[in-house]
Amino acid sequence: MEIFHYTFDWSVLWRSPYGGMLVKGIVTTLHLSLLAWVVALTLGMVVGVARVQPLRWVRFAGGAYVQVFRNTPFLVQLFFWYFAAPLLLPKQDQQWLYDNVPDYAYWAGVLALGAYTASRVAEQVRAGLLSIPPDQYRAAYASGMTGFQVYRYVIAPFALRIMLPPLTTEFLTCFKNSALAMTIGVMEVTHTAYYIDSFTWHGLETTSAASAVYLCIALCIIGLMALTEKRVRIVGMMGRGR
Amino acid sequence: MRRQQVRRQSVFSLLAASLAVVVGLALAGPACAEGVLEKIEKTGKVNMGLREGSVPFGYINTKSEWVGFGIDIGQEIVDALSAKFGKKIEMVKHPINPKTRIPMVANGTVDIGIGSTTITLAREDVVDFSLPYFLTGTLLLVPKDSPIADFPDLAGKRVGMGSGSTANIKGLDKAMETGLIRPACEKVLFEEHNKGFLALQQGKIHAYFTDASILAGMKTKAEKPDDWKIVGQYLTYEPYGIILPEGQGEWRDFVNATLIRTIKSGRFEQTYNKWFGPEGEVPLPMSPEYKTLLQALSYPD
Repeated sequence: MEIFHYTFDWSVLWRSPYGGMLVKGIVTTLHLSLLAWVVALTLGMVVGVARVQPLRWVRFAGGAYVQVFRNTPFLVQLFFWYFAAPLLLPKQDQQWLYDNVPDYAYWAGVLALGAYTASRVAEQVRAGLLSIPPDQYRAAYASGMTGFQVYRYVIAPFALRIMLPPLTTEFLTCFKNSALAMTIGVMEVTHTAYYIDSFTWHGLETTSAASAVYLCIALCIIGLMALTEKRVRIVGMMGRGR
Repeated sequence: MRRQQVRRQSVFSLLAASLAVVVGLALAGPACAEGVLEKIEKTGKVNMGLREGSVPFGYINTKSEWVGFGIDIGQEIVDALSAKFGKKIEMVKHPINPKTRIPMVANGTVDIGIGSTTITLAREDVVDFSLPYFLTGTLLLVPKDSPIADFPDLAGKRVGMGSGSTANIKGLDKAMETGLIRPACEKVLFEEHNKGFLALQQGKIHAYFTDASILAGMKTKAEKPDDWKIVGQYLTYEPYGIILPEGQGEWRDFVNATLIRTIKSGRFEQTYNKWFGPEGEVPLPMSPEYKTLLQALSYPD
């Protein structure tokens, strides 16, 4: 197939050594984003819950975290974790870090993506918790439950279900943002696509392939989350009760 | 019922998206049939792609002027064009970088790309090159107290390089295959050389690997240039050419003739010394091989 001066050669996607590189890139994208999502979910839950606590300083700490990480560009944060953060350590510890964590760029990427996404997850968690009417809390406390029991048995079951759809969006964004890790040298799928392009001049094929990979992953996540939503649904709790 | 609708909708949006991509592709490739020289004569302008972050090939200096070795070579070509057409030809400068330089010439955005581009057979598939007017080779930049003195010392070390520098990467891969570097070193790829240098300064990598001319530029730009040294024997030769569009024989002949005349008149060496001489921005003595190359390029009239 030829469009003007460009001759398509899709074989760069499977030809050795490029096929292997691409598979490696896809795998890196997958575990980088999944690890980052685990970090984001854990940290985001903690920060989100902190933002609705009665203690003022806990609320303040949670709010500060969200504002800092949500309101600075993700790219800048990536550079921070990769270039600047290690400088805060003493000199010999820096060297230890680089010698013993050979793929430091990868871990900086996980940390950066996790910390950034956590700030967004935290907001969804906060919104979910605040969407539960105060009466529910009062009723739960009135029936003699402890603070933990109130959250575990009354608030969380509702709030978590409310949070599910917006969290799906955050999950997708987390996957797509992982492409930015290429700026610190992580060989994820987008970087691999560029890399193969610089050897073969067939960037259209490789970037199309990378886009298709993101699309497939996104559709899988959407399917998975839809399934989860369906499984945990409480009839009549939300919306029009399909 | 509703789910089915949703599914159909997503199939449609998929189709629409792919259609948009194809249409975009079709519109993005303007075929230029007329000769570059005719176009320059008609418009009185030549579109030049020049580096703006590569000391001293093309960069913005402290007085925020766009200067460099490549810009001076470009000026020679513009002067020759003005003389040929008997009117002033204007140089329109466009910034290029290692990622955009080949596509921008191939798609006609610029008529000529002057930077630090190695002539490779793979690149010859997509664009044309002038005669090789610059010759360098690949070496290593290391901290001054580093035990690394040549390529075999890289065994088991972390080595940084530019991810767009394919000629370099292939050279290093071959050195590992042939056993010059054993056990293999770990390649760390950077989008830009300056990010690689930052990583080298922080100790993330043990050495940075690329063309000697670029290493010399990196060293000069460092806060304390004396803290760094360039070591090794050329692993590969890197002959630089000017990037020209494919199938423009007359334009290519003109550029080559201008290069040859500049070399023969001695102005080329003056320009080299202006940037790479002992007093230049990036001191880099001309290697004997390079001198021989220039002699070989001094074609008779």
